[in-house]
Amino acid sequence: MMYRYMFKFSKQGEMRLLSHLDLQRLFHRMFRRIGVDLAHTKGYNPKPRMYIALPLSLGFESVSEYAEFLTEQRFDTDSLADSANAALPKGIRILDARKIELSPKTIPALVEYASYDISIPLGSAPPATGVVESFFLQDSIIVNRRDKKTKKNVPREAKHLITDVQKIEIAGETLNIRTVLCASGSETMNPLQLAEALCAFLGIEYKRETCRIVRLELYGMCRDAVRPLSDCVEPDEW
Amino acid sequence: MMKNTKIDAAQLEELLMRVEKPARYIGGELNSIVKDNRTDLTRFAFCFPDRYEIGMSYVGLQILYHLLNQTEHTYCERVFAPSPDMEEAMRSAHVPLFTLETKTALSEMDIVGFTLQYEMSYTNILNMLDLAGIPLRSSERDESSPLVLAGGPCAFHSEPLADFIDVVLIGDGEELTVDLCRRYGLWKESGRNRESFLKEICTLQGVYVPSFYEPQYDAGNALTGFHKRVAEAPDRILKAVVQDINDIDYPAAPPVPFIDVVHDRAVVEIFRGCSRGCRFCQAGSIYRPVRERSKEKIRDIALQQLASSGHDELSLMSLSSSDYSEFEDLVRMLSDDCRQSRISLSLPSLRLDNLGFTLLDEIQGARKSGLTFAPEAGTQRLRDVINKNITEEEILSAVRQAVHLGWNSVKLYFMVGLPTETDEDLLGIASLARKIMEAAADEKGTARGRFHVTVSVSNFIPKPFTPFMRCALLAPDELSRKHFYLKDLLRKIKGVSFRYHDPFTSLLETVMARGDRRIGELLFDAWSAGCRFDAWTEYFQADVWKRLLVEHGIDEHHVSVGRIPSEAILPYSLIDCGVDDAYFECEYELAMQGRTTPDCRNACNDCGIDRYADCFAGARV
Repeated sequence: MMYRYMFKFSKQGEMRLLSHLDLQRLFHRMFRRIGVDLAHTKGYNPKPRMYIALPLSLGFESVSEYAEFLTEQRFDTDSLADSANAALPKGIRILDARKIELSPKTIPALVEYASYDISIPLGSAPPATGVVESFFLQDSIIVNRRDKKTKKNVPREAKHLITDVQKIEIAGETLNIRTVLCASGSETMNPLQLAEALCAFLGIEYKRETCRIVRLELYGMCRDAVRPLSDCVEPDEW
Repeated sequence: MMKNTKIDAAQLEELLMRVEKPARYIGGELNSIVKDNRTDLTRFAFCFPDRYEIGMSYVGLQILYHLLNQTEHTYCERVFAPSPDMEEAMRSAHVPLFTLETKTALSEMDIVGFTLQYEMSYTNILNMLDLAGIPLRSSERDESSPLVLAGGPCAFHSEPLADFIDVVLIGDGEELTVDLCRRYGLWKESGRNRESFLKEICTLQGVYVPSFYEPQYDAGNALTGFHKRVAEAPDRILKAVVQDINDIDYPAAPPVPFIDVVHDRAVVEIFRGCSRGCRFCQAGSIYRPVRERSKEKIRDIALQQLASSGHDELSLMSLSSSDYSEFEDLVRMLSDDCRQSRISLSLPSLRLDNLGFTLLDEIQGARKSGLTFAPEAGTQRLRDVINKNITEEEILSAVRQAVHLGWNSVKLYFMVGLPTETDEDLLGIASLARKIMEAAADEKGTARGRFHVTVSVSNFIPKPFTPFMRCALLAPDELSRKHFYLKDLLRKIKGVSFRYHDPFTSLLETVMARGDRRIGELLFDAWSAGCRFDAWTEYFQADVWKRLLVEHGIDEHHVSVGRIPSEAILPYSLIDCGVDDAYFECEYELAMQGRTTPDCRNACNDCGIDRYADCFAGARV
């Protein structure tokens, strides 16, 4: 018998500097420590069956990440979050854990959109909010996407990938934007691409290390609507 | 030199976004320790002069981190050498070197302790001191500077670093380091000056204060001895020895790295020392005598480490692990524990006899990891010279067994440039490789093509505190000739690949290992010229080192050619490793006669170490 669980977690502070692989290893070890024996893939080199949705880029923070895991033994989810949090470093917290129905579609495969807070330092002469707004009102927004194989920047039309802009605010010398971006397969857009294009538009220098990105939520499509991922899985009532 | 001692959190955050693998520098790992900053705490920075990934794989760090932090009086934090990209970022932002745990500038520490694991990390030590804003030379530091300490295997012959280090700890560090920190706290409270503290500790077994000894040279610039500056300093410094390692508390919960490190696993030291007496091996001398940890204790520690870390691999650590007196029982017991919880058990330095294979097969099952043999020399004659007792027949029968059990490759380790070596011995390496391929083919039948042998040769380096310590290092061009000769021989055998080490690196290693205090200036100039991470081929600047050797009048051939005469005073002669010089000399004579010395487990060879500790303490006879 196989049992499936979903958990939601945050990744903040210095923990934003952990890579996706580091995070996977961290969770595998955490499960070992709290005595949850993950199911493993079959074959020569068995891998734990735990999957994290839409790997977060190194340096981004997030207040709602999602992962699923499978076990061969049923266990109680009530105490899971508490015992997991006791075994996790500061900056990574399990916010919710629940048992869900088995499904051929994994949690990573459900992701369609992601929302982000993007903060960009503007320097001593910040533009007016209207100038930033006009960036988003363009008919075409071209961003640079880094090709992983050739390591070259490839321009790409991204207007249709910016699903929503929920906030544009200039606070002091910082520009804060809240936006929803496509996050499905090849239609996935990295918020840094947006930050880079916006900086170019505003005529300010783009420095990756000074942009702060916080992922706010991951969304899927279910029951004909866009909903947070946690609402796109069926809870297992048993 | 940097003066800044404040670490600005926002600045550091921005800096970390610019460098590769920033998690190397953040600390905060599970089981890492943060103590309240009490003023009566002695603050100790354990500095590993290489990358995080290397340093975090070092068990000595785990042991001292645990022992120091267990005390009420000391707080030990970790520091690793920043990679060149991080160094550049730190220098341009004027961020001083800091501890991982509390991001405190190194210059704010009471004690800054470096571990000396290999000679090619020495420029990193100078660089770390500089990045910390600590004056490099002991003589330039004042009462407000941290006390700079060094320990580890190379501390036995650390004269090239003598001008940069205040206190060198020789031998087993577990009891000595803790005692030193305790005394430091009392001294700090007393308000006495630093010299009085050094005078107090220099009488402790294992403590060497280089500034208390002034090397003397004759007109020909040869070392003639040392002048003692203070009466309290002992004539020779005997290494510190832990009598029974069962009495030393072993870490049950070492910090668990976030990033992938070289050895990412639970590790338990099963015994210390080695009784085999290979004549080239320094570890075989300086870690004497053999002292075992009980198998119950090993199991306890292993289970605790696995539970506290979540690791999925357990490794046993020692020299020649099969020599553990209850090895079979120990492995069976641990392999039962591991099998139940999907943990893989690895046994490095396992002797591949019948028992070895049975155990390997039991713990690995279908998984066939690499098999290695270390014959070290190609002919029985030369193996007798170096006292490596493994015979060709043993190797061949092990290969047959390995093939039979499903292994498809083996790795062989040899040394070139050994004393008395001729081309005949190199031919022996090739012929052994050929016989292994043939044995594999016999065993395999027709599927010969799939078997693979890797021959890896390192260059013999005459290490201090070995019977061969006065032997010559072969000149780099002669080493190269041997490499190419071997390469040609091995090219003709299908399925064999060949690896060898850079001869110039070996030369430098010898210069550092056998150098006297004057080599410190070479080190300083190399660091000034930008040398860092010399053990990493991508950073090693051979041309700079070559130029500096010439400038310092160190002739490659002078380092290489000829044996150091028995009457010449060695730079590390102040240090007593517990093994008699007469024993080393006798072993050298036996080597020259091609005579072997048996394992001292069965009968004592009178090396002299039993004056300081019981040999085979804790071993079941």
